[in-house]
Amino acid sequence: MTATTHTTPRATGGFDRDHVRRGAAAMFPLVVSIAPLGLLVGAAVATHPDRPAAFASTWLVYGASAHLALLDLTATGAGTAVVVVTCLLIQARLVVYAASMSAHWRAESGRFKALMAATIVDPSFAIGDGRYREPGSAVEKRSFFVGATATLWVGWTLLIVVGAVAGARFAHVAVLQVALPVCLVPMVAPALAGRPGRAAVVTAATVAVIGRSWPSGLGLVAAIVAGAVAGAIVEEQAR
Amino acid sequence: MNIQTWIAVIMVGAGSYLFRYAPVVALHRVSVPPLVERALSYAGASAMTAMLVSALVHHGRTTSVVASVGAVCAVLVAGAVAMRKRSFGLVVLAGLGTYGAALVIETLVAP
Repeated sequence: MTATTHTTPRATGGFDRDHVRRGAAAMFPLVVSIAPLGLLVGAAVATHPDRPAAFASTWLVYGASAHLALLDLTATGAGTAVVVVTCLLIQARLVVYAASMSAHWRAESGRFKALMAATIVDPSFAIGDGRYREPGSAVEKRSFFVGATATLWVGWTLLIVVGAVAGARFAHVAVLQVALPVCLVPMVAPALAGRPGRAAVVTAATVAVIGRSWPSGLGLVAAIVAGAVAGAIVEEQAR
Repeated sequence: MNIQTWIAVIMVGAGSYLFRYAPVVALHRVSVPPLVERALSYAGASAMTAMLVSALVHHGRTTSVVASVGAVCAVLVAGAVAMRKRSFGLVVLAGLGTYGAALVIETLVAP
């Protein structure tokens, strides 16, 4: 007697070097464009009271905004629970990205999924998901994603190292006092294009101002939750 | 070494990996309510807005009025440039340039 099992067919293994290079080339301009942010995070790592932990977050957290929040909150003595909740709320969007990538990776090996999932972040999702939706073989798409995401991983690490080495020397430069809010602007701006996004931004900003004196960064957590809920409700009403 | 910082780093790292990996391997077994999924998609923009505003508020508490107004103008100018879909570098340059101009004005009008 033989057992019948229904499994998703495995994708053909291997990589296409040409498409790995194409993925790297597609990601490179994005790495250049986020250079100021990487240097800023690097400078924050250099001035953090626990530099090894701050630097290890580069790979463990692997997300600029959550990394910045973690550095800021731990440096100012916020409670561990607040740090974790705040950073995980910031990272929550990764669930949506990973859910989208799961459709493309259904036939990939467990090892590929485990490794590549660790590299899911805004730029790798934006470029990778776009390529997976275009025509091409599984090998070409996989190769493109690996080339793109590896370029981002290496580039981001290098930016943080350079920022940590050079940024600390420029930390006293007055104009860089607004580097953090200015670097966050390009990440907020796309949300302003639609009504739900605007509702999320305005609500989060309002609650952040109201909760500016709340203890242990609770105002930040409340602002994120309020903004996310407002965006979802306005989108729901628009349907 | 600060043990509290390491605990936070490891917990955030583990949670982040779970967010990335769990949907990839288990999405067909669990379903996220649509409203929660929509809320998650706005959490990133909300977080960055909250951090931006918190940074501006903190800056306003520790600097002069002119510098505070300069910081708000820097964010608005950067926002205007970003809305025109310019590059990240140009947005940052416009914002920092605006703040730099405010600092120069402050120096010129200072008694």
